Order: sequence, then C-alpha cells, then structure tokens
Amino acid sequence: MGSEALDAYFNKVYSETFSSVSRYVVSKCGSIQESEDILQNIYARFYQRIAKKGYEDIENSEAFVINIAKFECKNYFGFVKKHSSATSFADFTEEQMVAVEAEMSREQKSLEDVLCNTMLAKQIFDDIANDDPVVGKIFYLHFVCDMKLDEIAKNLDMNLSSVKNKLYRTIERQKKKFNL
Amino acid sequence: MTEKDFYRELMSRYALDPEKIRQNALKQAKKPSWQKFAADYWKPAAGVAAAVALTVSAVGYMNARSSGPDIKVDPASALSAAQRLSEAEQNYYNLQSSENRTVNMYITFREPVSCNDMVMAFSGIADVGEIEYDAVYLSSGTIRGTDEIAGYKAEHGDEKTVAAVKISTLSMYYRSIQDLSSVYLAEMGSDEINDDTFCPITVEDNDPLINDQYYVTTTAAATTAPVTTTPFSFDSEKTTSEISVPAIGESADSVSDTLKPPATSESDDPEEEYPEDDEEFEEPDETSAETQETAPETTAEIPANEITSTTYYGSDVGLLTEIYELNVSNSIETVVSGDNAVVLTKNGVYLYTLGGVIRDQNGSSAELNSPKVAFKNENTIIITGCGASGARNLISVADLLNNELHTYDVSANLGAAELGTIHYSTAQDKYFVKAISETSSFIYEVQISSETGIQFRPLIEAQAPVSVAGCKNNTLYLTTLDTVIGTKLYSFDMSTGDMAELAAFGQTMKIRRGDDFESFALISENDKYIFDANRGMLISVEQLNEDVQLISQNGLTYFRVDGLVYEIAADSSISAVFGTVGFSSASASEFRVNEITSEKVVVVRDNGGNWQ
Repeated sequence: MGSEALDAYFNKVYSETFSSVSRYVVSKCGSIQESEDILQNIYARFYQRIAKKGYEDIENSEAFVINIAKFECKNYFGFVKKHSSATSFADFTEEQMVAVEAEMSREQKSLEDVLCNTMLAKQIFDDIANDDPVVGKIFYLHFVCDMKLDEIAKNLDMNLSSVKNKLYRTIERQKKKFNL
Repeated sequence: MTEKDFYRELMSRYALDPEKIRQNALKQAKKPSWQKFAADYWKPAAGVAAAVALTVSAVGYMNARSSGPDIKVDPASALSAAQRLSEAEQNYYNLQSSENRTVNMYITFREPVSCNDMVMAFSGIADVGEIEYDAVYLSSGTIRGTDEIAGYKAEHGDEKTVAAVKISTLSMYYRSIQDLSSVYLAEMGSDEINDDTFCPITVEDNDPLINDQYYVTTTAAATTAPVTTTPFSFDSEKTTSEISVPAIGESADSVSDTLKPPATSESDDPEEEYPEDDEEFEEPDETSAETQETAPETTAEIPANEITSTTYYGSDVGLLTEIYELNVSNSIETVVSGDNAVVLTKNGVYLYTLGGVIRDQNGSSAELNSPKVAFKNENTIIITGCGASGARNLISVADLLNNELHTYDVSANLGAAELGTIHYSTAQDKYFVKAISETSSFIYEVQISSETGIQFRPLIEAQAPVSVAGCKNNTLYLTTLDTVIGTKLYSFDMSTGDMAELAAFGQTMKIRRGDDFESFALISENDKYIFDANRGMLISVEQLNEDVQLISQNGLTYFRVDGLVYEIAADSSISAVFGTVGFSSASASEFRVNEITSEKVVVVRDNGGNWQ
C-alpha cells in the first residue's frame, strides 16, 4: 500500500476522532500531561496497524481507535497510592456557586490582554495543570470538550458538588493570584 | 471575552497540541522497531545521553587473568546503534523526495534473506531503475564486487544467508527502501558508515534473548563454549572463550527486539489484544483502566499468633543484656536492623521497635502468605508475599525510620508476573524490581515514599532471564544468561531507552553487586572482573572472590576482599588502601536474634556496661 494513501487515511481518521479520543483519555488517565503521551501511543499503534494490515476492513474508525485507547489506558501504569487523596476545603454554598457561574458569563475586556501575554497565559495554564491532576481534567473536559459538569462528574466518578467546587475554587483562586 | 471564552481558549491552546501529537505519533509509528519503546513514560533527562560504546584495544585482552588493557570508551570514534538509528531517522525525514543523486546505502534486513528475495524486494519499489549491488554481508563473511556477488547468487540464490547489503542507487528511493517490510534499517553511506565501519545491527532471531527455551537457571554450570562465533562477528580468529566486546564498526548492539521497555507492550497482532469493535461506538466503559487499588493499610485479621512481648533484663558476668521475647509462634525468619526487628511467619509480617519499650503491634503487622525478605538496609526492610490468588504480588515495606509497616497490592502493576528480586540504588534513591511471568521477565523502577506510597515505572521486558547488576546516574547495567552463549552484559539508558551490549563472556558469570548498587563484580571459575560504573569500564582483577564487597566513594571504586581494601584508580591501577571506606557492615545493629523457637523469638542486645 502506498504510504501516501496510508498517511491520507490516517490524517483523516485523526482529525475525525481526536476530539472524542482525547476526551476519553483525559477522563481515564492521571493528568493532562500524561494524556499527551498516551494519545501519541494510541495513534502510533493505529498507524502501525493500518500499515501492516490495511484499513479496508475498518468499518467504524472511531470505535476502532477508541478500542485502542481502552487498551492503552489499561496498560498505562499509574502509581499505587498509599492513601486516597483527600482534599479538604470549605465547599461553596449554592448561592456562591451561582454567583461564580454568573461572573463567568460576564464580558471582561482585560481577559483578552491576558491571553495575548503568552508568558502569563502559560503560567495560568500551568497553575491549573500542576495544582491537582483532577482539576486539569475538569477544565479540559468542560472548556475544550464542552462537557456539562454532571457528565464530567459521572465520567470521573465524582459527585457534582465536588466537580463544581474544584472548578469554581480554582477560578476564584486564579483571579486573586493573577489579578484577573 | 467572558471567563468561559478565556478558559476555553487557554485550555485549547496549551492543554493538548493535536498537531504535535499527530506528528509524534507518525514518527513513533515509523521508527525501527526496537527503538520505539524508548521513554514513553519517562520524563527524559536533559539531553540524550550517548550510548556507551566499548572498544577492545587488543585481541589478546581477557585471554589470561593478567590485567590487560582496559576496555575504553572512545566516544569520538564509536558510533553506537542508537546513533546509527538516529542518523537514519534524520535522513528519513529530511531527505527530499525529489533528490536525485546516487548514494551508497547499507541495508540491514530484519532476518536473513536469500539473494533472490532481496532482488525481488527491491524490484517492488516503483520506478526503482537500476540498483548496483556492491557488497553482500553473510553470516559467514562479506562478498564484494558485482561479479562475485553474481556468482554467489547463481550458486546460493535461494539460501537465506544475507544479513545486509550495500547498494548504490538514487537517494530518492531511500524512504521506500526503509519502508520495505523485510528491511530493518537503511543507512546512507557517510564518513562514519562506510565499507570499513559498517556492520549489520543484529536483529532478534539470532539473539538468545528470544530463545524459546526460556528460564535458563542462573546456577547452570558453564558449558563448553561453541566453536562458532556469535552472529555478525567477522573476526574468525576470535573464539567464544574470549570476551567478545564489539569494536568500532562491529555490531555494537545485539539487542533483542524483546529486551525493551514494555510501555506499549508490542504484539505482532494487536487484534489479539483488543478485539475490533464493528459496532457503533459506545460510551467508554467507566470501570476500565482505573488506577491501582491500595491494599488495606492494616491487616484485617492478625493470625492466631498471640502477639505479646515481654522484656526483662538479665545480667552476665560484667555484662548487662537486654532480652526481648517476641511471642510470635512459628517464625520462619527474623531480621534485625538498627533497633528494629521484623518477624516473618507463614502468613504474616510483624514489625517491632526494640530498645526499652516494645512497640504496640497495632499498625505494625501485615497479612502476607509465604513472606520473604527481598531487601534490607538500615532504614528499610522490604518483604514480598502472596495474596489470596497465590501469586507473589504483595509488597510490605517496613519503614524503620518512622516505625511503620505499609503493604501494597501490586498485582495490577505486574499483570501475570510475580515479584522477584529487589535492589536499591543509594544515589538514585530508587528500587529496581524484577518480576517474572511464564514467558517474560520484567524490570521496573520503583519509588517508595511515605508521602506518595509506591510507584512503578516499567523499564524492560525480556523473553529471557535478565538480572540487574548496577546503576549509575541514568544507566542501568543488566546481564542475561544463556547456557550456550553464556553471560552478556548490557547498559540501558533509562531516559532514552537505548540499549547497548557491552560484553559477551562465553561462560556463566556470577554477579556480586556493590553495596551501593553501582559498580559490581562478575566472577567465574576462570575469570574475574569488576565493572567500574564510575568510568564504564570492565577491569580484570585477580584478587576477587565471591565474598568481595564493592562501593563507590568520591568517584572511585573500592573493593574489599579477604579483609583487604583496594582502590581502583583513574588509570585502572589497583592498590591496597588503608583507612575508612564506607562498606556496609554485617553487624550494624546492636541487636541480634538469639533464639527462635516454635513459640517465640528472642532478641538480645549486649550493653557491655551498666544499664539503668
């Protein structure tokens, strides 16, 4: 099989499936940073398969790649925790959460300037990604994958209140830390 | 811009880079097979460490026990397999498809092919035109010249003896040639890769690491070395009774495709491992791929031993003795370290802190079947044991500094494998754990801390017995054993996954590891060597015996044998030294096990003075 045709097929499947596969991987694995390596492995394995055996027999490429993702995530060696992680912080009340949600929808001119400041923007991202692996996953699934918070809670096997608290508390903390 | 838009843009920009992932996935997929397992779950150290390449300065080296010239690292002239692969990869991606110059190419096949197969494979490349065959590399030697090659082909055209070939053709066909399924590695001729230096990279079928007769016992007696040389060793004068150390240009790496980090366990048929799902995609199974569960911290049930301890103080002439009776019945082993004692029974482990007050046993015991002490130093005792399934996949860590005992179920980390030996690198503060399944042996890097528990990182999977010998910086030193080939020594770069064969001994060598798990000795009936990890050198040392102790101090290796301490200097000279060298002492603890009965363990400390 010519490698050009192979690459073209691979690229097509990649662009069609990346969103759903990354959503799956981020849900399953330890942190955003590790997800990148795992995604690379998934698509490398997919390419090797189609290079070796072709792709005419693949009826549903998304399902096929997701199955590879399940395999890769299963083989991913996370660490054995001695204690389950327990974060302790005062939960937001319902009223506070409503207020934070409303604030998130308000137009703020200064945020565009923050995004243009590459160094600051990267710091804000690193603050999210490095603080708590679960927070990074929540942010990615909610803001990039457009998942609702109750869906995220179900995927991450958490309760909705915990997901909301992690999200909103991080946003509030960042406002103070980075003067947003 | 709202906060929602802000975070959407922020996360999209920095979280995952789809284009970067796509390109890396393609590069990874197209790499030669044994390198692609490198560093999947590693955070690489700064830069890529150059693989150690060893040269031998004289054929006569190692023939006798006299200390001959040492094997030297000569990075200026050596081109390791890792470097060759890297060069090939660069060429693969950088070469313009429109390039149309005539080049020399050195092509190693995945397995020996016949001349007729080779010609057929190349003729399958579209518009290949003419290919000139300049040299054919056989397991028995090299044939050069068009006429000679044609003559060999006429007579032996169907015999699968061709390991590699040198051809002249247009550079634009380089990628197509590399992409042929029979080709392992295609290399462009250069100053480093030429007729004088080229040697095929050994591929797996000729390597004992995938020998189907797995599980060669490490205590097997050395067999008579076979007369035939190891594959791709074209020095017909070299016998296997000598150590064969790859010289420049020879095959420096006869590493099996199966001696590799198992980050993505490679299957010839991935469909065996994950069935295709022709149905419409379903939401992922949420119960899959969870992180490992933790074994309960404390035991559910203490075995029927009555754990009570009494202390009384006896005296002997001029000597006060503290005596601790640990009422643990049917103890199978008791280990004392510092002022701690760990007692093992058939199905439990008990940690005691000695010295005046016997610690209450709550939180200091664990239920394991068939426990065995796998590692011990003054701070830590590690015990492996069997869980309910009967597989040895439980680890109890006695933290002697904090007087705590923690137990972990690592079955999910090991899969079907069971725990074997454990070694500790003082400098790296890492453990190296060996696990064995029916078909493979695995090496893991393990970190243990009271904050994060236990972490496993897979390093190597091999279809042959493999042992870790030492570790220096990011390099792990391993040995393999085959009853025919004997012991081989390898280095493994933990940050890049590069593997290099350092020596092949042609006989069984026993490992004597250093106290700090850096330098080590390899000893047989006839030959004795120290591998100086500080300088990456194998040194013949006459004085060694199996009781030798080794340690590194201030960048030098010291060894103690028969009560004398020697230093290996920077020029490899060996001299006796006096003074303090930090060998670990067998009698570091003041406590000792005085008696073990079916009903108790008696530990004593001789005070040697008045006790109050």
